[in-house]
Amino acid sequence: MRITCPHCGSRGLEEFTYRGDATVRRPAPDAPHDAWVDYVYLRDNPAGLHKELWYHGNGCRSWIVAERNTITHEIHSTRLATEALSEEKSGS
Amino acid sequence: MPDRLLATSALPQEAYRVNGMMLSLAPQRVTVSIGPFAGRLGELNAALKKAFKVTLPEDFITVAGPDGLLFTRAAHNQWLCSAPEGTDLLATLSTACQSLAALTNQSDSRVTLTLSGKGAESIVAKLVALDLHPSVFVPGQTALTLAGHVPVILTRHTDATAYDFTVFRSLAQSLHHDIFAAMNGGIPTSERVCP
Amino acid sequence: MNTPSKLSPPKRTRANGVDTSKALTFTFDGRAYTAYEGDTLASALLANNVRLTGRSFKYHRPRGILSAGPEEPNALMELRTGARREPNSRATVTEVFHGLSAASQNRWPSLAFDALGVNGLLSPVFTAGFYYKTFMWPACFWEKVYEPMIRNAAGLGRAAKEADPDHYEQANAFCDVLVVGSGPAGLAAALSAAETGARVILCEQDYLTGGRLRAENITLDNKPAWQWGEEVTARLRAMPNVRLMTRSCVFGRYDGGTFGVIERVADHLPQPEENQPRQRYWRIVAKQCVVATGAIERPVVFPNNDRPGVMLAGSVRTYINRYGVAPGRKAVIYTNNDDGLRTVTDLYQAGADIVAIVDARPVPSPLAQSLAQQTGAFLFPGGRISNTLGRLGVAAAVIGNKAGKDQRFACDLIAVSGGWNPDLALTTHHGTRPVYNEQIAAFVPSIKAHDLHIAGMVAGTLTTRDTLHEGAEAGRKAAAACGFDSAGTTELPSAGVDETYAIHPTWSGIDQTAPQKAGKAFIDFQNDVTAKDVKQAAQEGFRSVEHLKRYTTLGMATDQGKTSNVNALAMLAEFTDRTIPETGTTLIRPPAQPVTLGAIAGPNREKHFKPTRLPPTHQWATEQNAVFTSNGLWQRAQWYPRAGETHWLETVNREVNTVRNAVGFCDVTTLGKIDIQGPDAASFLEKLYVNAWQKLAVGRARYGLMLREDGFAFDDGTTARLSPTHYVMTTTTANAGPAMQHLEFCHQVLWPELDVQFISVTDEWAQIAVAGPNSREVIRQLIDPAFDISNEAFGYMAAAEITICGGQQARLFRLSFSGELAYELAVPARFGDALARRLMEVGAPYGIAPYGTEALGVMRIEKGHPAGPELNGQTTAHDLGMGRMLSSKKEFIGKAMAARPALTDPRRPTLVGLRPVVATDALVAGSHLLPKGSPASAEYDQGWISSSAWSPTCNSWIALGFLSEGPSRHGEIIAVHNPLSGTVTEAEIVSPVFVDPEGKRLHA
Ligand SMILES: [Zn+2]
Repeated sequence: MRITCPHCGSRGLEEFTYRGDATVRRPAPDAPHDAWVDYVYLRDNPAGLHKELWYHGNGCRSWIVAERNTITHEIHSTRLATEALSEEKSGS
Repeated sequence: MPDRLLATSALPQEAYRVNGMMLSLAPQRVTVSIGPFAGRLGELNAALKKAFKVTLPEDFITVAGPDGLLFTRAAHNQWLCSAPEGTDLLATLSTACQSLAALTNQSDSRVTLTLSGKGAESIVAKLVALDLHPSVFVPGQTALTLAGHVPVILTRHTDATAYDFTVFRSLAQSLHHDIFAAMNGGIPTSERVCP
Repeated sequence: MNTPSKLSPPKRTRANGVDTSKALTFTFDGRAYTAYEGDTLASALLANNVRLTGRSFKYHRPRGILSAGPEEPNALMELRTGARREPNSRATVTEVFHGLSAASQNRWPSLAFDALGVNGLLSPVFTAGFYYKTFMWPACFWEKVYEPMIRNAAGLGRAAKEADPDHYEQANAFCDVLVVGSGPAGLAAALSAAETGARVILCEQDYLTGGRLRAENITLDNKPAWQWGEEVTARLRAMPNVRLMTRSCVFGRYDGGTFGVIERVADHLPQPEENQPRQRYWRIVAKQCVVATGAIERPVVFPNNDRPGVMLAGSVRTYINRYGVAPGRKAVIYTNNDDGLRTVTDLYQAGADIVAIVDARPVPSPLAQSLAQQTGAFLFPGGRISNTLGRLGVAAAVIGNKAGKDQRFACDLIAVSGGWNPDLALTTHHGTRPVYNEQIAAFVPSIKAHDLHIAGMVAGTLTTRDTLHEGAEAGRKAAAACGFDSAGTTELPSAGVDETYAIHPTWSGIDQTAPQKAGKAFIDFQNDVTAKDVKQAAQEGFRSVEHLKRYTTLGMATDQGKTSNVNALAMLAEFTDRTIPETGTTLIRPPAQPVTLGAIAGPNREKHFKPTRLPPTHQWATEQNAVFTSNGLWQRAQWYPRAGETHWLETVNREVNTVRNAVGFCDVTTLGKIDIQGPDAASFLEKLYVNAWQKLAVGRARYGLMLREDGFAFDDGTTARLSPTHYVMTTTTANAGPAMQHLEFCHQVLWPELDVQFISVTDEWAQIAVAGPNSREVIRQLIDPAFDISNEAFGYMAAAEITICGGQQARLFRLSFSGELAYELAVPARFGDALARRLMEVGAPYGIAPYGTEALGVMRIEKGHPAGPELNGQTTAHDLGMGRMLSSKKEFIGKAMAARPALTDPRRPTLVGLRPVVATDALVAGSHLLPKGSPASAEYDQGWISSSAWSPTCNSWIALGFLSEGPSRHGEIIAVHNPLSGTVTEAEIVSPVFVDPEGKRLHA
């Protein structure tokens, strides 16, 4: 598998580390216990498009949000996590 | 007053030659990492421009400043600045960068191995999973990648037939072995070796 | 070449693939034979009239060469001898070299007389599902009886017992268009793609390009077709944008346009040239791929269809046209299509007698008729072969005519064609199922991927002309998809009159009214699976092809069922009254052909299995005769034996005593070091660690514990503040990489608003721990006079940037892992070696000695410091006795989840020290802790020992462990059960700090 790092370009899978679902958000410190359990343990397992976090540890050390089709393994898009998150925060 | 401590090289200085190629240790340079603080990249570039007439390259390339200074992009938000041995680079940069960036001495963190000679590209291709075609990995370009299992900063010299592998000091012997083994294995017959 | 003349092979007819001026000698089962350059082992054996090449897997039936390519299920050999002996090598793709030694497999004592041929008599034992049924009971019989019996009787070849003396390489290549296969379609595709300027890689598994162009007696532009192939090959080789790889099998198609390729660099040589790899494992990344892998011919299933001399019709033509070998002199042709009839012509022209043509098609074929007339052969329209006769090879065929009447014909070759199956392996590696094409009675690829094209026989295209055009078109499209548009069209040669096919799907010659009569009819030759097995499986209710495969082992041999899968599912369809599309087919997994494990490992074997990291003092430690141990990728000195020391424990005890009583030093460079700077550096540390950091004074260090978000301990270490905005963090050696990843995650994903920068300085600084009551005096010998390191000026947990040895920049930390007065002194890595040597010099009067990781480990256990065995991912701060470190005044990673009641329950096993009642009773890590006198069973289990050591300081074994309600049980005697040795030792529960619990030494 190849992943396109927004900084480095197309790279082999061996340069990356997988983390998982990129859509979960860390709850506020005082959030109810259930919210923390959701965040730490509960994950959807979608068949199809899935946004997930990858770390380009053997490259530029960016965290990347990759949209991957879990059925075909095709990667539809990749973005820097910092950019994806700041966009989300600014509500666009 | 005790004697000064003497430096030891991470690798023997002598060059290895095999199959018309050469693997050698590049001259030691002084290196400092530059990590711009949040939102300060613009100001930092202006300051660097003023001091050295260069800005930090956005691409993974190396740009040259005065007095042998080289600036290379080395992480998502970090650059390595290097200078010839003897330069007080940390002081020079501290003056120029004024608290706009984190500066960390990296002079002893890495060593650079240079592979050169006809066919060097095919040896690099045994270790690095990057498209090395000169139209893709153009002379002067840098990549943060893996050489086998070893993280490296790979730079193609502007003369196109030589490559620098910049590697963490502790991994230098291991990488040296891997490159040397790849050189010994020769140039694959399907390879086109441009003179 | 001094080849004895009596070994001369029969004269070859004109061939396009062998050079009869270059003779070679090889041996088969110890006997010498002659071959020519360009021969495969199979063609050379056939040329020497060797028909019997092996014995079958289960029944030890005599077998010969079935095919002329990688699909071969029968002619599997052991090649070479000694350490290079390789079993199950296909004679049909093995290039003969001078001196090659080949041996048949599965025969004892000899190929012609095989004592285990009686397995044929045991055949009821070996029927479908025999693995599941026959050997079900009793279980112990498996190991003692069944398995040895199967292994002896039904083995494959013997692997070499020595280590592989060859080496293997890996390499990467990139291109716009990868073309797989260099038959007419592949050559046309490569040419048309290359002409656009696209970067093309053409991979051919064979050592010659051309594919069927060499196997068939056809013309292109009125010249032999193989000549056109050679011309195009030469043109491609001359193009700068083309890489042509022969002997290179594309065995797998992976995600993102990645392909696995094995290049057989030296398999055609007696042994690799000096320093050359035997094979090279390529990873090719292609934007587009044209699959032009051709097709594999199907046998027809009929009784005793496995005798040597039964051969695929297309392969017979390959041997005639490419190798100049006619595989028989009196031939019967059995076909259900026109393509098989081409064998009649080629054999006839090669001088063979055509005894009979058995045309299985119900409608009489005019072509067959005219060929029969021309060659004088008997023609059996609508006929079948109902049996064969012969001992070690075919001597006669029993042919049934349309009316069902049998007639016997003497012959030495039966050329069979059940039609062609596209070799579609690469097209299904992504899970895309092929579809059944009624017209050609075969599965053809269904392509959904935008980067995959098919051309030629693999696409079900069976005329040369269409194949060429399809290839050129696929190449052009693939290049266009990469942005290369062709100005003109590729010039293709004229193929003359189109070949006809006209297949009628007849799969077997079995008389279903009396199937038992004639004998075994094989579907899978390599795993000895017969039509009867498939029928039995169907009768037992196995309707899915996947189940059939597993139940009968059909297609599960090393040939992966290349010649058998479609015949099997056609028969399953017949037996279950379904159509073939209803029955379905299996998908093919990579590798499409066997891949040597050595090639997968490549250069990463033995001590180069993974990279090695060497600390700056490595060379010096080597000179000190240090014994090294692996710590992650690092090599660290484990202990430093001295002359006269006879046991490692003696050495380690001496090293511990040296530190406790004088001074020792140890390279701790391997600990992860991260330089952290920025206005928000302190706030960042607050998020990472459970304890507080804002108020840590400049010039001070603090121990910190990091949790994972689930509340369990992640890593620990000390972090020093060098300026208000500058910290140096240390992590454990093992977690240096994961900690960096964690910091990047926290910064980029969780708290991007924090203004902080960090970079690894692990390799930058050589860091050496100097520990022991004399350590201050030793440091004083090095440090420049301007710096005061008295206890008052530089107390426990102080940190400073200093100079040593006359101006050498350094850092000094007053940290202690041993519990003694201790420092960590850091210098730029290039001075690490010199620093170790200098410490030895200046420390000599103070009794200095280096110590290794083992002594370090003993001393940290003596001090109750948790390390890897305690921070094992299952322990919390509370378990580690650090529950009170968790700050309630700030937020940090893991805080919410660490507060879960179950994680702070006092009944959770918590860190304790353990000391055996008898000091010399060894405590072993992994032992279980039980109340004294209770049975050694899980219900009484209260904890475990995580670390243990002989403590020379306490003169006793000591251990750290986790015990339920441990801290409140100090003084209790407990049972330590070691289930591995079955022993129980009594130990006292004590504080985990065995030495200097008040910390007087470390503050001295
Ligand atoms: Zn990257």
